[in-house]
Amino acid sequence: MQEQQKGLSRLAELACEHAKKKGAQNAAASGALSRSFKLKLRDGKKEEVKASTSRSLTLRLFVDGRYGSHTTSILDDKALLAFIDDAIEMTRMLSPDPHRGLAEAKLYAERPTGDLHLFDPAQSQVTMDQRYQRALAAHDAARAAAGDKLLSVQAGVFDSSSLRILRTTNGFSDAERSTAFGQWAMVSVRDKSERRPSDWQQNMSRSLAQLGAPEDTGKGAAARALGSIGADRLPSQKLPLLVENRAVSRLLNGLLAPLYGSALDQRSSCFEKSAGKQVASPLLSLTDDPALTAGWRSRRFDDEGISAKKRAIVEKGILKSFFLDTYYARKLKQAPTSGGPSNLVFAHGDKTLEALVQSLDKAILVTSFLGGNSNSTTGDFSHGIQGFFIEKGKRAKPIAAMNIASNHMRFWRDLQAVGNDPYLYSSKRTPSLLFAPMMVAGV
Amino acid sequence: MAPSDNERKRLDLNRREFIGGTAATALMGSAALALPGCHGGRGPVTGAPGAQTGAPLERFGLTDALAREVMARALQSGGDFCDLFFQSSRINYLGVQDHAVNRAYSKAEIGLGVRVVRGVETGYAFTESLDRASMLQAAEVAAAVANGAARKVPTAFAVSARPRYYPHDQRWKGVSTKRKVAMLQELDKVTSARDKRVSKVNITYRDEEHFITVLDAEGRVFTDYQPMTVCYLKCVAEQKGRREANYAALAGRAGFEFYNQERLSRIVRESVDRTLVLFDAVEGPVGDMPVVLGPGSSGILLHEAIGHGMEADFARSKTTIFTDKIGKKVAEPFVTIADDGTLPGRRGSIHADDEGNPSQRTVLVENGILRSFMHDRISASHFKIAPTGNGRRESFRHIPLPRMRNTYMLAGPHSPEEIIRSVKKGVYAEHFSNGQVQIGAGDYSFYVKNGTLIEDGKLTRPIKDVNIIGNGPESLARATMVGKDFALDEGGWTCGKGGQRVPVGLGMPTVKISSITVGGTKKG
Repeated sequence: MQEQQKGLSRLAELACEHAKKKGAQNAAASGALSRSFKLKLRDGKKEEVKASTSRSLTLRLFVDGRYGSHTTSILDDKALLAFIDDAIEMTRMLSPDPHRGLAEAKLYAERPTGDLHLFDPAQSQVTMDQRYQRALAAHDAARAAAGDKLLSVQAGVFDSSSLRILRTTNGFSDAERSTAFGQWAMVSVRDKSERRPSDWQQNMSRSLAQLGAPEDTGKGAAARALGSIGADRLPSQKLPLLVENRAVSRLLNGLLAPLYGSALDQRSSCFEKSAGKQVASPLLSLTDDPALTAGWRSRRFDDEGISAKKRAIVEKGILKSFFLDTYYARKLKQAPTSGGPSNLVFAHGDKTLEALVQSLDKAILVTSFLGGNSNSTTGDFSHGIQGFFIEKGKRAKPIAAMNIASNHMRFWRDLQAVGNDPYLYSSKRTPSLLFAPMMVAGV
Repeated sequence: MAPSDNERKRLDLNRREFIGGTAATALMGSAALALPGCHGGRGPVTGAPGAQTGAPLERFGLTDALAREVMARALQSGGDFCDLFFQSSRINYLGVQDHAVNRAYSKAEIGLGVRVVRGVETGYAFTESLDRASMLQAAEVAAAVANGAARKVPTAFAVSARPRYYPHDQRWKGVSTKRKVAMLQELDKVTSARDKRVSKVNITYRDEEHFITVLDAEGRVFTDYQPMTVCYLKCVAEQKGRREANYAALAGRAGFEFYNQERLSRIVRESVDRTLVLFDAVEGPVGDMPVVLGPGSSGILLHEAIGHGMEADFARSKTTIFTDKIGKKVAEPFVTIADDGTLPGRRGSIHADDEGNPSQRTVLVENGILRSFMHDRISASHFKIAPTGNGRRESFRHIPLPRMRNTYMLAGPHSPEEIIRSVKKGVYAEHFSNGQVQIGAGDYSFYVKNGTLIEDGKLTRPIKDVNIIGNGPESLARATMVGKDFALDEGGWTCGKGGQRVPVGLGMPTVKISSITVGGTKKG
């Protein structure tokens, strides 16, 4: 990796120099390199075994007040220089945009210096046979757990090692390495009707040692699939909504979309005038934490080079900050934060998902969403749901093909409880959430 | 919807960080719109059967001998099949914000994917450098899936015939940025001028050219130039302190002349009118009711309710709800559904699939009877039938899978007016943005961006965004009326499956689903 980093850094330097020589006043070059493996079993056969190496260089160009961003994976010197020539020519055809520019150099300062625990050297030692044994363990455990209901089982593992570098013509230069390991299983089962429901589980980690037993992944997937047998729809009615941790991100994305600079600047944000105001229940506190240990989007610097800084997005229900890169911050006359979320961490409650289930008399537990969308301009959203009807603190029966709809400006005010179970396999560390009764569409 | 700068960046980050396995189900990604198109004829078949591969490989700076050496390495441990997929791509983006074409993006890549198949098992590797050592190394990795004696490489490769489904006067490389900028400036101007309430216009434009060459162990070589273009026009409007946004899109596997006056006027009209109508929108209703789907982009129903379930990889593993239904009645006798890669200029059209098998019109449902799954090479060989030309891949970085092309329902016996008149209380849905399906359970949903209430057989008030959710086989059986007004959609649909995105097309006449769940907020 050391040598590859040198190679990529040299190309980034060459690209920036060439861009300036050809008339760019400023440029930023970001390089990415990853080596990945994946192995997938289905019903005992190796359905896919794959290995790959990817490299690319993205050059952001500022030419005579004009802006473009150009990516190539054809990285021999001659092809790269010709690509930059074309890119500069293309940029000159555009209208000038006075708000474009590199991030201010002072924002590069004070990058976290500690180890974020994103890289595990063990990745380079993993053999294909180890990958196979791990996938097989997940596969066999899922098969055994599904028993005679099983139709088909898939299980897989993946791991990768990545490097990102960034160089700008106003003095930034740094690199960051990371690894990822994962295992998953997906189980399809027979139902009494014609339905062939399936469900999955995926576990991931930054270091191999923390990946956990593949058997648990397989068993988890089987238990979920078996649990959905016999799912049906209920009549439309108002019920409290409990959303399992791993499903919450679909709702959260709808809350986040109006907080981006592009939405604010282009009048497509229902939260445009909500800064400093109550937008959610005081139970909702949401922090963006780029320096989170072993986080899925942990980074010491963002895509522009801006240093990682922990900040509140929502604090006790009050909207504290937006996602602003240098460009949109300038357009909106605000200070840049960062163009998008890194890791999102919730303030937790004290109950497990099971305790929350037990606390409910009649409710819906959502275990996954099916389609739907959210309108960032109006805040309206509507999503299909699957999960369970809860009665007297128990999962009384599985439900499917029902739907919920509301508006993000209202919905989060109805948050009534936050679980203590952050989902660790996504950069959005969502706990399970309980919302006040809402209309659930069904028969 | 059209990805913003941030969204695009996030997408790329994800791809780098989490390349590898995913257990997600099939999911429609991008966005679209409706248009009354026509079912076009077919172009003449050209090609030079029997020619050597010199020309198809020249673009990649390679010789026939080197390709054979790479294939020999891939087949060193045997295997039933092998193919080499060479690709060279160039994508250009332009964006309009605040009445200026003030941002450009581009992407260039080249690569080779090596695949070795043994039964249903696949070994795969790709390289982004086409030097001898990198290609041989990729072949070595892919070969590891087999463990027998070496298989012989064909002594010669015969070039497969190639039809002409991609209308273009010239290749995208020859179209200057200046011409595109002029078109986009005009589009922005006309959109803003259409109504005083329009306060923001965003345009995301993209053109692509892909050169591919597939050589396989059976001695076939297929080579193709694949153009593609998409234009999303988003509009924000304000009235009495209230704000609404909506969009329209255009997409075709075609050249620059695709953007004629008729099409450009249409997306301006659709984008603005679809936004302004929302000022009158009321809350959508809740619960089961009849839904009438307007002609065109409502083909999303077919894509989700039956299309994914008819992809033969799911039939092979018995995980689709349609597994045992071939030859059985699944719909009324006036329902015929096809998946067709041969429509000139359409987003989902392909001369051949990414395994080099000829594209075709595959009838999935004929007069209400389920006829055929959609196959790639592996599933076709499993079921011992001919491939249907559905083996598609996102790029050289991915293995081919059975995928849809342009999926549509043919016209039926009813007039659109009598269909609407037949509904006492329900919803008319006509513009959609996305959908998703659970292939095994058959449950699916699609998101309506523009709909109208039907009250006593008449279209009355527009409704806000709403999701509609149902079960595939159930909805098909409940398609009780099919209009005479068949239309293909020209929107920029992108279908996601197994972490791969491919462009697809949709079409449908006006159709009545007698009962399906509408996920609004207003009960009663």
